[in-house]
Amino acid sequence: MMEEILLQAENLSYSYGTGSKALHDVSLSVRKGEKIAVLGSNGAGKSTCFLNLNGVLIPDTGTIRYKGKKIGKKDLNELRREVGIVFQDADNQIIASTVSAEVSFGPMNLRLSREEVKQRVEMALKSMNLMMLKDRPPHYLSGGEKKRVSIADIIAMEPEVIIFDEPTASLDPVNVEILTQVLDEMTKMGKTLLISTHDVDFAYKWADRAVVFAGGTIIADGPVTEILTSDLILAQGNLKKPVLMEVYDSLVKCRILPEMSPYFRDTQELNQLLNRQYEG
Amino acid sequence: MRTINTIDSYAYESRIKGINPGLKAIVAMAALLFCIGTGDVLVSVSVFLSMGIITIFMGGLSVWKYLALLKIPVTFLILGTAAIVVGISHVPAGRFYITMPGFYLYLSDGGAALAARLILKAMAAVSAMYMLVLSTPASEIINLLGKLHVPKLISELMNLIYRFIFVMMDVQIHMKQAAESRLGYHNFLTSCRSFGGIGANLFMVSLKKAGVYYDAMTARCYEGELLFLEEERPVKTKEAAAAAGYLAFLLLLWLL
Repeated sequence: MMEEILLQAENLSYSYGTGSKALHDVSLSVRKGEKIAVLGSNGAGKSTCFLNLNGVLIPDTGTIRYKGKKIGKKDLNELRREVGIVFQDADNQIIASTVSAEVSFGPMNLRLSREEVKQRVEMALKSMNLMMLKDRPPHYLSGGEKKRVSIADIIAMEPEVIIFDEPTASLDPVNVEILTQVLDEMTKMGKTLLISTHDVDFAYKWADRAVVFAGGTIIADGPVTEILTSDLILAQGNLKKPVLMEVYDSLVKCRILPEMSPYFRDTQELNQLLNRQYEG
Repeated sequence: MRTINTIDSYAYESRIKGINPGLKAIVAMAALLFCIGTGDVLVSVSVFLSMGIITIFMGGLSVWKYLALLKIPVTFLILGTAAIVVGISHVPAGRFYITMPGFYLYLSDGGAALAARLILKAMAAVSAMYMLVLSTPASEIINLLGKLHVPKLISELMNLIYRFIFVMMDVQIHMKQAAESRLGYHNFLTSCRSFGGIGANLFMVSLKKAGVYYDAMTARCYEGELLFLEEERPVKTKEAAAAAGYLAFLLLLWLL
């Protein structure tokens, strides 16, 4: 069954005033509960597209719809409430001088009651495991902690769609692992997630669908395995094949796995596949 | 993680951070006004000692860190009061004098006493302010100003400036390290050039950051008013009584 379409961009174009187009004729629809990896090289237009989807930037031409409703100037705050962005650099997002004040900024802007704000801040801090740090100023936190604060910022606003701009770029492997768990939890809660990343291995493991940007427009959009197996798309998008796919190719080539075996997304799935092949 | 040893970081570690900031501010301000208003030596000494005791024993700041902080104003005071203590005269005068070609530098009785009183008064006032800032994070002091009806524009700016000091400091430290690693500071001339370059870059970075920050704030529904949830720290009866007792004690000391 197809879930309802939440967010829809139709023929978006945007330029930063310098003349050259940062986005060109971008159309994208996002369904509820999807896990979308947004791929593409630096400057391909991913971040600009995100800022348009959240209503911070207003597209030159084209429309954005949320739940079918066309977003006009008056509905921008509704869009911003429903679509949250976790920015790439937490230091560019954190403005308050304590962690709990920082997380309260979004809910306070939604003009919720004091009690409700308090409750949401606590919930967000708990889910990002930040209760211990709640009275700390952000400048005494480590990079991973700051990232968690910037995610809690958005969780507290309870948006339907959460966009992560390159969340794995500045994290160590342990923090990436924690992030993956957080993402899984969000999916369970029914949130819709869009993540831009250069890490194709992460995208392959985590996402269901991949959208590839190049030169300010979308050059491919589809199931992640289809996108990442196409050499043409990979070349156009300046991407590399995930290591696990290379392994798959090698295993098939050496006839260790039969052709047409299902793709595996992590080593666990690979082990299951091999076990079935050689023990069953 | 880099820990910066600043007054700011001591405030976050203070054990009396939980006390209502308004109460702490009232005590500090009242003690300060008392010292300056009365000019009484006994009041000054007792404020200086009691504020030190509060900061060190109740707040839990190490004695050495406290003394190191006191060293800063002491330096200024010694330089400043030197002019009061030392007089210039054409004839030999005072208790002790040095002959210079054409005039005499002398120490007067009155001058020394005046300087001592002045130093005590100033140190007492400083220790009262230290008590406040070493136990109250900047954000709470800014909130307090907001409650005292300081214009919103100013308190919001203070909040942002406070945050940006640390963001900029971080950027500056990294740029300086990068310059140092390329021998940017190996002699006076290159140091000047590197310093200038970093300054100019910081300005550009600030402009860029301001834009990115604004986007990030807009993304979270910012509409022109900085709103944060403030921690409530109710005044406990015991604390209020202790504060009132302390001020009454100072008053008595002066009256007697």
